[in-house]
Amino acid sequence: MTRAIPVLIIFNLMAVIAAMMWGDQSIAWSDLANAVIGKASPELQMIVIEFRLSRAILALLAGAGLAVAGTISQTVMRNPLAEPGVLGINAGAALVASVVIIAFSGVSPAVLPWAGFAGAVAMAAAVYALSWKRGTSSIRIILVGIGLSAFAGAGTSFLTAFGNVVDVQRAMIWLSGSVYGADWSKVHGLLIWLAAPLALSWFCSRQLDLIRFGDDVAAGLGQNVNMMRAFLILLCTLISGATVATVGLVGFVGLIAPHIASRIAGPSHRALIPVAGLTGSLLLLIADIVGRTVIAPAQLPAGIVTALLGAPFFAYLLKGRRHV
Amino acid sequence: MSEHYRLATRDLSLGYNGIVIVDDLSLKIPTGRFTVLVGQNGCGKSTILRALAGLLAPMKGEIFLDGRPTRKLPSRERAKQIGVLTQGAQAPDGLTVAELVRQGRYPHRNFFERWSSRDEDACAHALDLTNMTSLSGRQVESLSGGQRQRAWIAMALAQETDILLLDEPTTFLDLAHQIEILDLIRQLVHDRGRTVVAVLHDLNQAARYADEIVFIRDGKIFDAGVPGAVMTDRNILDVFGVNAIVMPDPLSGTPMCIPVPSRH
Repeated sequence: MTRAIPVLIIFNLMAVIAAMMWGDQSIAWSDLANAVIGKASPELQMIVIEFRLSRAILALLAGAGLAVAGTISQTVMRNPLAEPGVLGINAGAALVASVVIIAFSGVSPAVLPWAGFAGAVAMAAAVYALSWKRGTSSIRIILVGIGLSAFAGAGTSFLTAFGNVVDVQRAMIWLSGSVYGADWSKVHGLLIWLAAPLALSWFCSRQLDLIRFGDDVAAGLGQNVNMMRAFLILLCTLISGATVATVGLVGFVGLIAPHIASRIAGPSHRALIPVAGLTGSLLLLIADIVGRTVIAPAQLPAGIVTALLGAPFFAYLLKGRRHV
Repeated sequence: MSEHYRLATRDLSLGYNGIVIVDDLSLKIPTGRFTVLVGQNGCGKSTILRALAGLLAPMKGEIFLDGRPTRKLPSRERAKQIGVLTQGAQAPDGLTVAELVRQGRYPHRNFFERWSSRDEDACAHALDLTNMTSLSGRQVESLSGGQRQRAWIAMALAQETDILLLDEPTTFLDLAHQIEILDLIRQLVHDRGRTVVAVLHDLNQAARYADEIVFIRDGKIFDAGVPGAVMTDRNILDVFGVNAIVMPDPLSGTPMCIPVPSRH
């Protein structure tokens, strides 16, 4: 299909190895090898496999999810800036998570991913429903999404302005997006959530290729545009909702990864989706490695790193384009 | 509906946001002929074409394909019979002509069906008919207006539909490319038995190429028939509000209209 895929897989593997070796305690090659085959000291085993490897895999999964969701939303909205956030997913997740953390501070943290997911899905559903007017249109979804996101954002701001300072700080950390505190159960949880929607996205390559032409061309060629758009938005919501619920709000990956991927893979989604996924996973893992090594022992949330590195890089990407 | 009119409408009302643009239209499209819709801007020509293509749901009335109402037809089935080229269609960035044309095969492939040699042949044939084979590797956005239009027509041809609806296929093209497209349409109709309906603005081209001309005024059929019968100074005055002299085209003998400036 495209040579980029094996190359990206190798880069991802290299980044995983780097993630296992680097940190406030550097691990030698020999110790790493021992840990991988399970013959290192229990302490080393704990650091390399339980902490660093699970965290790296979580970053890979989340990055891939954000990138594929971004690819779908940019295609369906026919807008190169339409990351899944325009569907209200981020704002909805942020609002409900803030409510849980700040207004019900006694609640178990285990509820948080579910609350985030519920907020994401509820907002996406509201955006879709409110933009329905004998069918939907991309531009209406974008406008309603921006409006409702601002509305939810006001709610979040209100909570953070008047909440208990300790709770607000917890909320802010969650909101900034991080793979901090990863463990294998989080990895399994996210994997189970993402596996089917990611596979379905790839199976829908042809539908994505066509819907990008716009309603008239797609409908003229026999696509049931409203139904397909609803289905693809549902996929996008499931993917980014699950991702946001697990790692919080990691910005820019869903925006940049699809752009990088389309430069590498061209316009066909059959290649674009896997390339975007692998690009997103690599980006988020690198961002996390940078975040936890650059000012070690303190850690920057990966979401802050992606925004710091992502914004200038995005400007560079846009420079060469004619149609934005 | 008889065999001669596979596509027809009955009491069709069309519009957007509750505003009626086309009212009570009963139109029959002759099978295996080239039908041209003419009329002033905003008279509803494009709206009619969009409805025939299934892109616009009727407010009232029915569109029939082979005697069956098309609203009961799954969109994929309709797209195997009716192809459409709307105005202002835009290809995504970076798409090549070949990739654009391949989209035309969409209605012929099921969800899990792989690309077949039949799909490949249809695309090659469509590129050949439109003279686009040598440009198939080029990106659509790098083409000239005429080439781009031919690429889109190639996509519609790859769809292999018996009926083809074209909204202003010659607009924005230079004269040579206009003629090229119209010759291609004539070839499709007369050599391959396709049914083509197009919106055209140039009355003389309509008169020369069309088998049937439909004058549309205010969303209604004002007159319809072979060019020799309906391309009259009277109809041109009533539909376009323009005084014109109609005389035989020295080359083809079809009616030719020469507008008379209002100051005369």
